[in-house]
Amino acid sequence: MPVLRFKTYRLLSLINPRLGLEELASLLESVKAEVEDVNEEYVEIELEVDRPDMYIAEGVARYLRGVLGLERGSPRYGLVDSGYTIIVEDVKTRPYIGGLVAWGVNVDEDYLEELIQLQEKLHNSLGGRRRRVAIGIHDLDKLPSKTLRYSFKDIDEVYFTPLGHTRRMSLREVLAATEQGVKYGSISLSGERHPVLYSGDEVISVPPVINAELTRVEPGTRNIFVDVTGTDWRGVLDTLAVLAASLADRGDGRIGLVSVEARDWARKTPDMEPRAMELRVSEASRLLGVELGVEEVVDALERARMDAVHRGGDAVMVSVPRYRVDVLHWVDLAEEVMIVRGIGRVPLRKPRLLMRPAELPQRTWERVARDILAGYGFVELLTFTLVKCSLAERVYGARPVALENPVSEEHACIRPSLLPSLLEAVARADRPGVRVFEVGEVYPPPDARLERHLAMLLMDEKAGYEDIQSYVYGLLELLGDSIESVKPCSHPALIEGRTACIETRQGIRGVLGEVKPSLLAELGATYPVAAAELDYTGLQPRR
Amino acid sequence: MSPIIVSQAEYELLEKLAGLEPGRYTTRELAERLGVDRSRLEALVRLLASKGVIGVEDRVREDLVVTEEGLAYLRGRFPEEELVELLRERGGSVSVEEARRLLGKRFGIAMSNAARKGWVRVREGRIELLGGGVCEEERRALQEILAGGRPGGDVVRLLRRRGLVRVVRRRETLVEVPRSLSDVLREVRVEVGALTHEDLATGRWRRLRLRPYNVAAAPPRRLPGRKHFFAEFLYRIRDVLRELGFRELEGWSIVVTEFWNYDILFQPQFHPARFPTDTFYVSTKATGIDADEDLVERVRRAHEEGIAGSIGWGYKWSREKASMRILRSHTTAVTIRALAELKPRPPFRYYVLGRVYRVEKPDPRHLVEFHQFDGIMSEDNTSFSSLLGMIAEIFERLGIKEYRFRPAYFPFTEPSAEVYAKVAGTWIEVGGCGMFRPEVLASAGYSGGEVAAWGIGVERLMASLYGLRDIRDLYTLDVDKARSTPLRWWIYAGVEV
Repeated sequence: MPVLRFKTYRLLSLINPRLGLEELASLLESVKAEVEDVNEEYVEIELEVDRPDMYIAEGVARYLRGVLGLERGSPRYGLVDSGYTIIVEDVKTRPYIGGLVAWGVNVDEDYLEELIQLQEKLHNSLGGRRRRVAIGIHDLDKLPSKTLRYSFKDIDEVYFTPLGHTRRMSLREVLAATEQGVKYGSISLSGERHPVLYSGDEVISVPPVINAELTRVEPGTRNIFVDVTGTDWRGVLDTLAVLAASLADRGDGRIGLVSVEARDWARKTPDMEPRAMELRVSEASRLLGVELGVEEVVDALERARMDAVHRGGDAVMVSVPRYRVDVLHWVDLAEEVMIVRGIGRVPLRKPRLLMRPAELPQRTWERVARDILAGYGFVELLTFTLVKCSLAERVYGARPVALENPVSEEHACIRPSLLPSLLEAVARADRPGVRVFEVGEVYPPPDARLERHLAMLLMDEKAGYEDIQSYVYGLLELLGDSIESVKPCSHPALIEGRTACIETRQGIRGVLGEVKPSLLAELGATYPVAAAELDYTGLQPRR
Repeated sequence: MSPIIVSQAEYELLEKLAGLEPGRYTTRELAERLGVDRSRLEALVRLLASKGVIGVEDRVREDLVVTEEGLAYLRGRFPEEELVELLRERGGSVSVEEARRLLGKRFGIAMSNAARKGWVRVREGRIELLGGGVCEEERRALQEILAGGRPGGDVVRLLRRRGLVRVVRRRETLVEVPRSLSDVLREVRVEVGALTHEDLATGRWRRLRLRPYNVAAAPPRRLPGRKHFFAEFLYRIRDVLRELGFRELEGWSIVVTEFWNYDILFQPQFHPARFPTDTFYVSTKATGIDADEDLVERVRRAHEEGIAGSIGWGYKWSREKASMRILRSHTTAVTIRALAELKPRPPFRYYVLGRVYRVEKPDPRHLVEFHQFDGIMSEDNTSFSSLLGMIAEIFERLGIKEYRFRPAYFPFTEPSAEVYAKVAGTWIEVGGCGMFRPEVLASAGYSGGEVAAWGIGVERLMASLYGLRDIRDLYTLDVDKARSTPLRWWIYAGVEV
């Protein structure tokens, strides 16, 4: 999932300048980060989508200082009124908006890089690739007015210079002609109307597509304004909380509240109210399989940068900072305790209970069939379930179930039969004496229901119906089965009049015959091939 | 004394020689009498001689050969016989000129020989017959030579001078067949490269000696019909899981709704994996969510407002999104369905081993499809600790002694960990595990207590065990490669736990 790159000097100076690189790496590994690279210049880690609060060095440091025991409990931010107001009109496709202000952030080049990274990774995680949430980051001091208006506008009536461009364009042109417009322009467009955020009379953003050049953040920017828009409040508020904490950590520690006013409601953002949760030590102990004491639970949670108070009995009241958007349930707190204590302290409790599982008859049949076929000199192959559509259709005689977004032609359809790949394999070998088989699941159209098949092919100077028939009969007899009916039938890959359909006493159905020379020629095979495909999905073991 | 070792061919010749009278024979004679090829015989007698079984002597012999001219005279008449006949026809006398004309070139030869023998004389230009008329001695000698004889006396010299007989020098091999040959025959041992059915059936093995091998020489390689090396590993995993009491879940298609792959597992619909860049979408005719309405409603609630004490994800959950058909991205899509539909009572242990799909460009390190085995279990006091213990047990039984866990995140488990294994000196990430979240269990309508779950990918393990440079080799269509790849996983499999 998100791969993040931080400047090493930033991380170390924020966490603890005396920390060694190896120590840093193992510390990161212990808190769900997968370390890709650590060197003097940068640290690259992969984080999952649950911890967006760690998508920037300040957030990583906030948590790790706790784990290291350098700080405890929830961080305290000063919440102050910023004096900025967003008037919200009826934006049908993207109704929710919130804002925040941060002072003294003092953007430099390295920080700007990480801030943009934070924005982009939030878009891809909490933001659902901007569909759910989009973020606009602005230079506060460039905003023309403290009053902002969030409107749903006709795209021909909106004019501004988009970020990274040098001339004014209509919003229609921005959506059609800029890279961002093409990528994200359709998300919140409804007919000819699109969300637009104004400061005074100037456009500062067209969420979720692009900001205006007017409020560009650059090295030297001191104070920041953020707008977050989205399709649900939760996404907007979660994102704002993450951004507020990150910016305040870099800035002067204050978070500027923005008034958001709609026709029938009003609120202030960001919402930094901590979430109160109760954790029962006995339940956490049971879930983890570790005997925990109340004190060590409180200690661990404080080091996870939460406030925790023992409330008597085994209940611990926990106050979860708002930016910890991953904490949904007390089990998440139990995991925090486990992480801070170290996963190495969870004992490996070996299984003790004796169970008696049965094996499915189909599996047993498979094992025996494979032994017999190998004994006959057949070589087992294991091939992909995703195959070339054209060959599968040619061999199966109907269009297989296809992928809507295949990555290559070779893997664009779900195999309806084992024959196409095995035919390809023998055609590739193209010499007398080739014998192959495969046992596997196939998923024929129309609904890709599972069938279990066994296919066997033999290629030789002469490879006739009788040749394959003798192997099929031998196989079935050795499996304790017997043929109940044999009838001439047709198969798209097999020669008419030299093809049979069989049914056995144990419920196996199959087809066997000689492969059409036209098909062999298409595959570039110059020796005859006889083939059989058995369907043992309906196997009914009978004495 | 060590027995004399002979080859099968030498032995057969010895047998034949023993049937002859002792004495000296040329190879030419032997070839004829024994009915064997002479050049082969020459080689064999020399080999036998070198072993001291028979004597062989080479010598040069002069043979007389009747020339073309000699043959012509023998079949017809000698010139001097022709002359005498002519004289007889003419009453005993003919002129020299006439005789010369009638006999042509032969006249000179006829005259000198007839005169030497005193059959004719010449008087006053005419030839007169005195007597004789048949070259008996010459004819006899020629016949004898033709029959292979060597006539004595001057006649041979005379014939040679007349060019009717020629001397040819011939090399020949004389074979001394000793009296003791039948004793020798009993003593010798026949050396052969391989014992045959006939040797055993006839008792001939008694006089055989099997040629010693150069045991260090490389043999030709023979390849068997064979079960696939990767498939064998998959069955090995099934065996290990069965040993540990897991029952296999089976029969579900790889095509599932997003509902079973993601929604019921509490993975929010905005999660970045739920896009065509990460998940394969499939076009089938089926629509709607393949689950009962109560279940769908519980899942909606879990996402929108929370369930089982959770605050949920707080967004508007979409039924349409949940109905989309995809290729399962993990086998947890199967285990959760078993939990929701079979509603097992603890204790239970279930697993599924099957293919899963990820949108990746296939290259030496990535596949669009690979195998995963997922397990779920619940019994008294199932905990994260017993989950880690079970996974450890699985690895130990697969012969992997070094493994570790790292805290991780999965939307459907808490706590969660990633599983790493050390194979051939390298740590590789092989899977994930965790305790199903209360939201997931409640959505599934399961009330039997904690459920532990894990999923482990097989191909990476396999690629490391085999040191594969290209992971796609596991799915090779090259019959020879599939046939000749040595098995390696079992080397790990047999270690004591």
